[in-house]
Amino acid sequence: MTAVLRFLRRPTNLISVVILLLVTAAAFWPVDWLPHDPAASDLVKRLIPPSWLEGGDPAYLLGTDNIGRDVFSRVVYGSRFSMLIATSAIAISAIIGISAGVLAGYAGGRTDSVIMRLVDVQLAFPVIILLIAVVGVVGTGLVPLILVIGITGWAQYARIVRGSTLSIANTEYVEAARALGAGPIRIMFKDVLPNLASEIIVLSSFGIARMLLLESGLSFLGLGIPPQYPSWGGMVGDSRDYLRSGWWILAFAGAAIALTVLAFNFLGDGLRDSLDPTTRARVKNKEKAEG
Amino acid sequence: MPRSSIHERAETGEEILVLEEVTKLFPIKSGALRRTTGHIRAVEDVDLTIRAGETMGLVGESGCGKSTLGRVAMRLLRPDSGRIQFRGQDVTDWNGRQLRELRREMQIVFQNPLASLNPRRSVGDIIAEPLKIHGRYSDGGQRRVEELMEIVGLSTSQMSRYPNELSGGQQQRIGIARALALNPQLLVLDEPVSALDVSIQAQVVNLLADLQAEFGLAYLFISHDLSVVRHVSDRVAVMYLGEIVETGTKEEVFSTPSHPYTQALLSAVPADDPDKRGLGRRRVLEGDVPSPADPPSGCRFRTRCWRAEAICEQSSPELTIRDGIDHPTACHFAEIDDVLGRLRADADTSERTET
Repeated sequence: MTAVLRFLRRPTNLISVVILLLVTAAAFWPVDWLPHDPAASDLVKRLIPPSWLEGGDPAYLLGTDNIGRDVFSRVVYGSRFSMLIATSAIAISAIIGISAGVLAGYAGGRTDSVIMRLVDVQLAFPVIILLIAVVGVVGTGLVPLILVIGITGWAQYARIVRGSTLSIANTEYVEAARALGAGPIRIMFKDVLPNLASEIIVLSSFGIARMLLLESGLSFLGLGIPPQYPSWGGMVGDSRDYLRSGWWILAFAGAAIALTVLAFNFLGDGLRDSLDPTTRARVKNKEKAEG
Repeated sequence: MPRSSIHERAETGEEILVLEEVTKLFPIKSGALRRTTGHIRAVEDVDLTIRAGETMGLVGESGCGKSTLGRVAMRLLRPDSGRIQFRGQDVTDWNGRQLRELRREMQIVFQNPLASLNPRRSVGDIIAEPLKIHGRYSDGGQRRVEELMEIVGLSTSQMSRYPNELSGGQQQRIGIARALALNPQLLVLDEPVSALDVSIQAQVVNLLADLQAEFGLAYLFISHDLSVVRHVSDRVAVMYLGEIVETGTKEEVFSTPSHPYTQALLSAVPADDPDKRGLGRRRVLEGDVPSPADPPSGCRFRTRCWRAEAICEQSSPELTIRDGIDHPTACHFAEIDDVLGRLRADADTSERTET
């Protein structure tokens, strides 16, 4: 409990947690409780600016878009698709990437070479092209999108996890475990993985941010989820023609992306500091010194 | 030889670990293709015997292959040639399940106590690990962990602490408790006190001595610190560049050293009395240790030896008992020189002339 409080005492951590709680709440917010149906268009009320500006309508807090849909409702509603895609995709990436990375780093030799060459292939292959190919075959959809960006994200994990595994595999505590008679599987789970935890958390926070941006980019290009689901990237994409007459459509969806990405990055940094036992001691000492 | 179980405990004085002509090479890989272009000759043709209940001290400079020899003896590394016998059984080619069995009888304590403990696991968890690996935890494992902590002088209240919260001496006690958990017959102590403060060194050395007396353990005590080795060892082997150059009982090696390298090492031991330091005639070796990738021909020590002659370049001296010397030494011109005694005498005379 004290660790959690210490974590929240840092302003950036606290702000990140608040933002992410808001985004999570938005993602679970029932559609019926939104001020307007996010899909209902009303051409009479198109391009109304945010309520606090001249010509604004108090009923539409963040204004309306080019076909009269409420921007606030759409940004809130859009969070569930953006978050669902980003978190599921990162989970897939993490599972594949960490397994591959630990295996490559600990087994070494030929296994290592094969896995790392696959990583090279993956990194050399543009995700967009792969996605166009998949969309061409199975059509756009939530599941293909998650699978494609999830599977393509494994290489970053694998590379970094392999590097750390190599250094952990050479530590004396792994040698001690081998001397005690522990097998490779046990060592990977008991000694290697726990010591990768902080790294995985940091990677994942950056990864979610990356996935959010990737999803946004793909939806912007029309390669994301079908248009009836208002993901943030899709909203930015749809609004690019109205940048001069209705900047707010893009601005609030874009701000949602930027804030969430930032919050995940700060959260990852904060967690790394408080999870790593060596930096934990250092942070504690620093706090003591500061009184 | 009767095939007794390795788990049967040896009587004091029985040979438990025998190394015969053990060699360990590490390949040097270079170039884009990672081709092997040479070998680090870390350990070469080493014979070593350890008896139950005794301490074998292994001394030498950094990089001479002491630690590698310790790991080969434990079968953490596989020797490139030579045989390793444990309790009369040839364990050189053991692997998998058999090695796991061997682990119960041979354990290792590392030089850097903190680095040898997983920072993410609590003290209790670390000490319980060997019991869990060998499926003995469910049967009173928790009590065994508490017992081990008491044996090594840790308080059971520290069970849920993490290694980095404890002092160096306490960390090393955790390492020792872990090594003792399976009740082994032999411990390889790889510089177990080098990373500790001098006052803590004494505590840990005494703890090790108590444990040896209580459990009849055999130690392979690896160290570069001659005074510690002299204090703890029954027998001593001196290593230089992957080879053992002189071996014998503690008295033989320390009082009647016959190999020039041993003599040089002993002459570097500080005098007991600080006032007498710097008064004796010291043997200071010149030059660096040659690369183990390309050791000198003949005697490996000849490039730094003041007695080297033509024969040293051509033929490698064997480690055998030579004329007038009661223990094996690997020098063509072996001659006993009681370096420590002479230094003490020197210091006394110069003190007398000064006053």
